[in-house]
Amino acid sequence: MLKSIPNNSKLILFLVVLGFLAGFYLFKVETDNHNSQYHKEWTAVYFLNPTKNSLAFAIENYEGKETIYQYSITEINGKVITTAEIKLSPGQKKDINLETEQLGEKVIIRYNDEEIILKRP
Amino acid sequence: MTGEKAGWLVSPIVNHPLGKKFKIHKLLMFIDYLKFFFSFFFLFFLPGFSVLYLILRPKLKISPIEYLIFSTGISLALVNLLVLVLNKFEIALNTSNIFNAILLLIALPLVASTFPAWQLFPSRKKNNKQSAKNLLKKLPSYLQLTKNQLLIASTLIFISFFITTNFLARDIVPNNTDLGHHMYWVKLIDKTEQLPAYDTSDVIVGEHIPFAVLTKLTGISVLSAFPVIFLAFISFISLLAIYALALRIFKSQTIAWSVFLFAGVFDAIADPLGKFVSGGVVGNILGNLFIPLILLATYLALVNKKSEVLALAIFLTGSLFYIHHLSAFLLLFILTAFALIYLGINLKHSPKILGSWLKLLLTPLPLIIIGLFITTISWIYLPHYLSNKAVTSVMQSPLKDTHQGVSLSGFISSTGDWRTILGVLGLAIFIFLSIKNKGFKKYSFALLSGWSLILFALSFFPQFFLVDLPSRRVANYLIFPLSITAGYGLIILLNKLKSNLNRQLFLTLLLAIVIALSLNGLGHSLKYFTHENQFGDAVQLYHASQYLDEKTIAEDTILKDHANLKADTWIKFFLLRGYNYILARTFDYKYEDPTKDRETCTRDMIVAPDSSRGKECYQETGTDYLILRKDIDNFFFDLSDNFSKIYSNDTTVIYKKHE
Repeated sequence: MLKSIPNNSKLILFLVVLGFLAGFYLFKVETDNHNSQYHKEWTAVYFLNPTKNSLAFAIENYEGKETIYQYSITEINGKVITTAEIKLSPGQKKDINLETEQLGEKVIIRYNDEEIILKRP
Repeated sequence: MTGEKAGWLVSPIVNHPLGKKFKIHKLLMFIDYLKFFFSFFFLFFLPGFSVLYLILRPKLKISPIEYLIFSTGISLALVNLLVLVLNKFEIALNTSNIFNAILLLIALPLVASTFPAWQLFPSRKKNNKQSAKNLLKKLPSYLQLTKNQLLIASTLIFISFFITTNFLARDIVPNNTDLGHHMYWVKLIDKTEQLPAYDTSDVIVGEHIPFAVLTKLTGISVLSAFPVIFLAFISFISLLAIYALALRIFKSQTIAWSVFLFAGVFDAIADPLGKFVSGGVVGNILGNLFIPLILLATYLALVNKKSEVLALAIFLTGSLFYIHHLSAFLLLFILTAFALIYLGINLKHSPKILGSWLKLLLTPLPLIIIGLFITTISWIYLPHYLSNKAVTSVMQSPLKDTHQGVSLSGFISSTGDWRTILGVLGLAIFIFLSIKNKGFKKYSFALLSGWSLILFALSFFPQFFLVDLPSRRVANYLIFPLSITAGYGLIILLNKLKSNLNRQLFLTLLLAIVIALSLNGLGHSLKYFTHENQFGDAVQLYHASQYLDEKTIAEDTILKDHANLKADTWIKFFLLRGYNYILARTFDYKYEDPTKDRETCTRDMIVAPDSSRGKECYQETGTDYLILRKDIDNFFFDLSDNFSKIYSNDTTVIYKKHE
């Protein structure tokens, strides 16, 4: 059947197939990598209500493994009010609302040798 | 947080154990890709093909590749025009309206071609019954491929695709600056279902319409691979256009594929090809398709004296003014040089020639197209850059150093050593042999020499033409004519060597040339054959941008650190609060540009937030949020009592200024 197709048309056919495959490869690479967890190691921490003078915060784990996060609430002079830790599985997000938050000024989060300090807005 | 690609409807299925087991997400991704691929075909091939079928096919024999390239160019132009018209009549740019209008656009010319009055070619009926093979046989022999040529062509095309795809894959998650700027506007069109009121001359509506209709039709967000894949397809079709033009000029498949080698294989990832595709330099990519298409159409129209083809050239030229101003501007220079050189070499007959061109122009179809262009520009849609001072600011003596001509070394490094050497040599041989040969093809000569020489002149000596443009960007347009002359020069050189040397010596030299060219031309591409994961930065910036979108309001003022943040132009894509909504700290050298009086608050607010100048700037601008690169210029903010860190990931931090 291929023999009956003129060479010019064969070239167009080749182009279309190649274009389709190349495009699909790029599409797949992008879709895979657009995922927050795919081959990535990072963590996001943030205040849930930055406009409301609240210390409620969230942690999102994209470290690619189960990670233990230790967090403390401190006063302005550095005195620790409360300390706790949570274990988050890969891709898990946890909102943390504290009863003692009115007293604190800073939230310190420690994980995998990293330390992040969020300061009351 | 809500994801741009959340897909709430399907995520329960994807995340269900059965969904995971059967890899539903991969199936959905494949379906998305099929939607994109067939929508591309529907939008950017069929409309042009049906118009070509109506007006061109009976009048001129063109090859399948010419069908492909012209169909794409005409489709882009038609889709742009169609959306402008729909918008003018306040018809919402939603999926059904776009789909129906495009369907009509495809069907009307096909239906019209069945009416006897439109049957422009008497023996058409007979032709329709003939097989594609027989029709192709009627093509001039130089337009047909032999088996060996097919093999060479397929190999070159494969290498070109392989190099480009590998290069693009490294940076495929959207993060580049220009693409971010353009996709902001596309998302705005998608959301509002109408064309935006542009408040910048940096972009043009025709750069956004193709993406907007694709995203509307497929439902796929532009925060995906599709914009880059679209640009890669267009860029590849522009390479085919260069091949097709070279084939018409030299009437030799060998030379034309040699041209493809220089245009699409060697330095395939350099500007203005791979890097422009990856960077989302939309206007240039589209301009690089339209310029060779317009030159090819003009050439075919003049050589064959076909007014329909001239109408096609005029239509594409008009459309280019809605797609890319720099390309349209340079095209006018190229066409003028082409006409002047042709008239110059036929000086005695120039009045007669001008008369014959006028006769060709003053026929129904070109006049209708000119009328259509005037109507579009005066009534339907006037591009923003034509309604402000953008044009006059270009037509003046160049002020900046970078606008006063490229240096030879800079030019060679960006164009490629061998492409430049062989290109210049090829151009010299072409001009010499053409003048020496009394029966030379004058249109081919005028086209190629006019195209090359005027771009050389504008790149190196812009002051003579009172053109104030970045010379490097103008020089990028030389890649294509230089590729044509380099391809020609290489074949002439090899033929000369073959006829003057014994077989063994010739083969040794051939091998040496192939190795030298490959090392030089492919060397740059090879260094990209490593796969580092570069996507973490972009994904984390998206996350921070979503946070800003959710936690801030339009009345807030946000400052970003453009100099250090990766993918920062995409922040506005998430916020959608205006093209210039976010203040940006730029690179230090830009604050010191003597030709431009620039504010420094955007820099001072980041490098010295608590200084008196910094405080003054915060008061002046009302800035209350900052998004910065983690561990760069964070120190003062962390110590300050006036700012709070409210968000942090591994690459990006957000601070809030206390009220």
